[in-house]
Amino acid sequence: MEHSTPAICILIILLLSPVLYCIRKCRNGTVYYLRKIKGIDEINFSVATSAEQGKPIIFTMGMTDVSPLLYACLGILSHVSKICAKVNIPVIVPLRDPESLALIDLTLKSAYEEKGKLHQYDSNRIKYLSSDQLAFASGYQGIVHREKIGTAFLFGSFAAESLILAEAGSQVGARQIAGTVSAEQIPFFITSCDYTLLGEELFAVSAYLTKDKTQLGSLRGQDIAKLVLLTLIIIGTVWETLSLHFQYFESGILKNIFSMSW
Amino acid sequence: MINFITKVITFIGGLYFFLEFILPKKFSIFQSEIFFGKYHDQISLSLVLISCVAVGLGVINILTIHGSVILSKKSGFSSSLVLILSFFFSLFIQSASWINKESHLSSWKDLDAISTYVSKAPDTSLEKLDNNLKIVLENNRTPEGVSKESYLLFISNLRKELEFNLNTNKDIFPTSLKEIISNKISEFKNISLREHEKMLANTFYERSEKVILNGLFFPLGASMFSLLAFYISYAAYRSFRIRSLEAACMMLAALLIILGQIPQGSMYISESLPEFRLWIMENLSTPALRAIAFGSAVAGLSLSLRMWLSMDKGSFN
Repeated sequence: MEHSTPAICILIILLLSPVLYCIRKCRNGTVYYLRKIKGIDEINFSVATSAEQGKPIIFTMGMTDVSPLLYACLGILSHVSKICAKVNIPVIVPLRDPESLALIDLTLKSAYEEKGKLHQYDSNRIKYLSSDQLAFASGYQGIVHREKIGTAFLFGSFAAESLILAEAGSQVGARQIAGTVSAEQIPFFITSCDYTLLGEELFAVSAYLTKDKTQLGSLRGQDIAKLVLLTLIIIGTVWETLSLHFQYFESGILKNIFSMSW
Repeated sequence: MINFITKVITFIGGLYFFLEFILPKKFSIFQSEIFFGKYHDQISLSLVLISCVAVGLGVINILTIHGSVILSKKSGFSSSLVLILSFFFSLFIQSASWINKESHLSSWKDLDAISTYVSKAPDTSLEKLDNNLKIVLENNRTPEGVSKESYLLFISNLRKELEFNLNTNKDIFPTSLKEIISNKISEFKNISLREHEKMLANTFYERSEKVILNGLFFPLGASMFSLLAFYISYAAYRSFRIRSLEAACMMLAALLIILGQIPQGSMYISESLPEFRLWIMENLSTPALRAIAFGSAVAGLSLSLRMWLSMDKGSFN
């Protein structure tokens, strides 16, 4: 969509208001329940296992470019690199998008600095491989095999290369945790990785790990926003079904409302 | 202080793009018309600058990592050496090929400009256009690869056509006439340029570029992609082992879809298998995918809001 319509404006307000409200409420002390997500719990355990084996960790964001998704992935990377800094194991970050290089460098540096291990930080572990999807996949495979990776984290947006990346880790016996918003790639990760986070769970990881009040409130707000969407879907479905039997219910009215311009 | 400035810039940037999306393109306030987003294209294009800088960052990263491996002669330094040499060789060939093309084809760009000038000329001044066209075409450089005689012949034919149309077809719609002339120029350009490009394709740089791209890069990419066929079979084998109730359900659904997809399924087992496959895809698979998409979109929207208002602590300082 190039431009908003009045109905879309109202929908945006309806979706964002609960997020702001819940963030405010959570900051004021309300405690929200967060269900257990096995895949996220495994993150700490996987890093600990790699530390015991003395094997490095690899963290890739696939095809993710500078976007809110990258920001969500950086939250996870920050948590993982803090543990890595603590237990003295290297974390390797292969990249496809050079624009995110500086942000990743800053994230890792901040994490090492927070743990007082800045002297151990090596920016050469952030490796820009290629912007080409398949060249990136082959570069990733090479690193996984050469470095004998202990744990592989695959978070972000992925395309056809997802299975090549996941199989590379599988071949060296690495523990693998994946999370993606690319719905078509989820089955590939489920078959090749130990744990897979589906869609929005990826956005929840940072809140789950840090228990930050802003992020927790935002999670609760998202649930309410999804309820708004669900209500709209139900209204649309009922309306369209009734339009088949009663003339009063004009077909496509919701579609018309949303496409009506200023 | 830097944090504060960053937050302010983030907020203003976000506010502009948000307003550009929600506000109508033209609206009135206090009897004055406002065109919000009038310079949107220019603002969006300026963001391309960031990408240009980022490409440099990527190159520096490659040179630093592999350069240090070569200098310290660490294990695998020969691979790094090959990478660096290939990088500079490709860069040289691609740049040389581009410069070569640009220098040889610059004289052709004038014809494009003339074609645009003709198609955009005002409808009322066709006679003026005729005079201008004469001056412009005759003063124009003869495009490279075309003899002076053929070019002058083309100009004279073009002018004859324009004069003929101006004298005989008085009722011809000016726009169509402009289109005819513009098309004639494009046609001349396409035919003659094709011949010239064939000649250019035989130069050293062009042939080397073809070897690098068609002979190395694309086949290597295809080899990587073909690996997927083996990986998919292997992954399917692993996931089809029935270890739990969920795995059994997945196996059953996959089996029904495979049988519904192939002709043997409807021929030998049941004619309703293709319909059943479609039902599973449309009623079970698609809603699940849409639910994931909805969830991700709402989560992305809320994260964008937090970024815009700088509400998060952030992963970096």
